[in-house]
Amino acid sequence: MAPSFLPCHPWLAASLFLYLAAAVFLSMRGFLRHASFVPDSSRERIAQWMRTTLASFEPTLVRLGVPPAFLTFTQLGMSLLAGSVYATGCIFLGGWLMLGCGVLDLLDGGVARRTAQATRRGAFLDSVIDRYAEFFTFCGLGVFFSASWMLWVVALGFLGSVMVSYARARAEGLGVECRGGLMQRGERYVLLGVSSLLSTIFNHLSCQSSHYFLMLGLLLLAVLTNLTAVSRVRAVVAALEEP
Amino acid sequence: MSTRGALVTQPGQGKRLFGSLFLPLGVGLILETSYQWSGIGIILVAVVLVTVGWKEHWQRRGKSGESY
Repeated sequence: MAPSFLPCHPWLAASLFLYLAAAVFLSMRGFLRHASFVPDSSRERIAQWMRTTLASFEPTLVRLGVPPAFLTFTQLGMSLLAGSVYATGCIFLGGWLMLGCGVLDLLDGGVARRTAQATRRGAFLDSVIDRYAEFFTFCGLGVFFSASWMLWVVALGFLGSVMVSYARARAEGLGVECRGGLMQRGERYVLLGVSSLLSTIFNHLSCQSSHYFLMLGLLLLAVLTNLTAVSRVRAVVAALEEP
Repeated sequence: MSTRGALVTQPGQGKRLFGSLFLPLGVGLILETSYQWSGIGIILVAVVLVTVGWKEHWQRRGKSGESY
């Protein structure tokens, strides 16, 4: 896997971009036509579209007897693979694997609920494995950007991602509900995955290898995850304030 | 209110979605690696899945006369 000397394919990249745009448009249109309830906010609408669309895999997984833990550990394996692929410079494949991790992250909970296997033990394992998965991915990105200032952005992105989850876990340990914020786990998968796909597509369209879209995605991730963590900390501090 | 199940009943949706997810993987293999033939193979399988999925969709729609 050595992408540096591979030829650029502008027509293939343009076709893929048009295909992805058409697939998302058609799927979203189908969802808006047939959903019995559509949320007001566009962010919630996109989240519900993804949940509803991916739910079509759940009956098949249940019928095949796939346990939710298998999906969780597959997600961990995919993250490890995504990190390795990012490290070798295959950004598109890394992004595809990140989106795959997001799909598995949604499916394991759905399958657990459908098969009445949703337990506290499963939820705990899922959270812990997610942190390891994020570590592998950011490690790969760190190796890819090791010779550039983007390494600091990757480090900040990882810090923000971990702090978003830690703030919630610590708050819930103290008995305070702590949800919400712009950059939760699903949003992080989507931002990193989509920016990686677009980065490679536009590199092939312009026959260069700068990965500006991925850099922009990582910058957004670093800023927004830390803002989310700070907003959660402020909310919890306000809730815990002594009378 | 949950909309889970609203789209689940659509025939062939799983195949279409599976094909749609795997087609970019095939293109990615062609764009970024030297495994060109693996990429082409994945694209062909994905196209077959999407085609079969749409065929099931339109056949069911034609039989029942309902619009999905």
